[in-house]
Amino acid sequence: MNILTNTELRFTKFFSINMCAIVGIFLAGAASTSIDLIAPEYVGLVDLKTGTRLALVLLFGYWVFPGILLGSIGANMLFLPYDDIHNNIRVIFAMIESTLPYLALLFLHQFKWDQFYADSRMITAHLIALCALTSIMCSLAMVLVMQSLRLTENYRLFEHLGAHFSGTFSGTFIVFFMFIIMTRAFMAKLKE
Amino acid sequence: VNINKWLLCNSAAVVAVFVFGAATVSVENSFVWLHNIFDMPTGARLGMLLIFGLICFPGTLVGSLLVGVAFIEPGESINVKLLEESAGAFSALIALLMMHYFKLSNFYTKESFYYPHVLFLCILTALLSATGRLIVLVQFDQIDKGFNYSEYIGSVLLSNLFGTLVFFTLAIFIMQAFRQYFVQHTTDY
Repeated sequence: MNILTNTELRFTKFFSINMCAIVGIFLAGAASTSIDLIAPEYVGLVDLKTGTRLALVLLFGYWVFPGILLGSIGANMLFLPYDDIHNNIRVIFAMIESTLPYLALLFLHQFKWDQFYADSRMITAHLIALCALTSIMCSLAMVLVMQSLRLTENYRLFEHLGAHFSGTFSGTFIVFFMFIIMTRAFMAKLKE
Repeated sequence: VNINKWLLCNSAAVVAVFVFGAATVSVENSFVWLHNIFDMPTGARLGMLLIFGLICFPGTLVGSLLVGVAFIEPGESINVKLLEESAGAFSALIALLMMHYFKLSNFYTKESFYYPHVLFLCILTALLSATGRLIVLVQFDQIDKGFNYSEYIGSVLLSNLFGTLVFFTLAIFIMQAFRQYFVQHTTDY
């Protein structure tokens, strides 16, 4: 006999998914910051937050948006490396970062490039397209925000775009590589 | 052993232990009151050893050593740090072997992990890890007069338990989601 009703079960699932998203993105932000501190000249080379966000968006869809947003706000408040940025702008960045993966996914959906898994393997081309689109949109949106706040004097667009690209690619690769291999091994163990 | 599989397992183990070690360092630096409360590399080591089996032990050891080298604090001896991290890695291995020996190694159900055995493994790992680290500290004369042994062991035990809890919750959640995703998007599964 089920103790919980269907609504309660849905709420519990929604709550647990979002809690995991918050913790996951927060820890990804923490890990990225620590990795950045090892070699400060390569800041932004590994952006695990974006990889985690993309994985969560693909796996859970729209349900996980609140968790992604809250996790991004927390991570940006504590772990964003630029000290001279006001907290409001950090929140705006977090909102941009958490919304744009969905826009990128919608964009790819329009062009029928949204099949990321088929014949027991990830389709790398589609995943790379999603990464690239997310990082381009993120960089451009950040430039617009900086421009509107007149903070672009020391801001080099192409450098920022390149760093964002490489960070997003490496972060997404690391997150997907780790979890896909773990999942396959986990499934094999469960079959045994 | 298939060399490709071995390499994949070990690289995943290195990445997992290093990433979770990096996250722990950053969280501890941001929240000072959380110092020594979350030791997520232990969770990652145990998770990797349970998921991939003993073949990924070299990966967990290398990941632990990388964490020790990369995130060394000022004034801390690198030899002590590396030995402490090695003690952490070996304690997970020894605890797993002990549980195999005593026939308590039924870590999986049909759907997920079997938590009583995983919890016992975690406690055993924490005790062995605390003992190993303590031996390293004694050998290198790192213990002051006011050092409280029971507090140290308690803190290691607590941090390992919390770290393992966080890692397993996240990993199980995401792995189950990936599993469902694979099943939904595969016709030949």
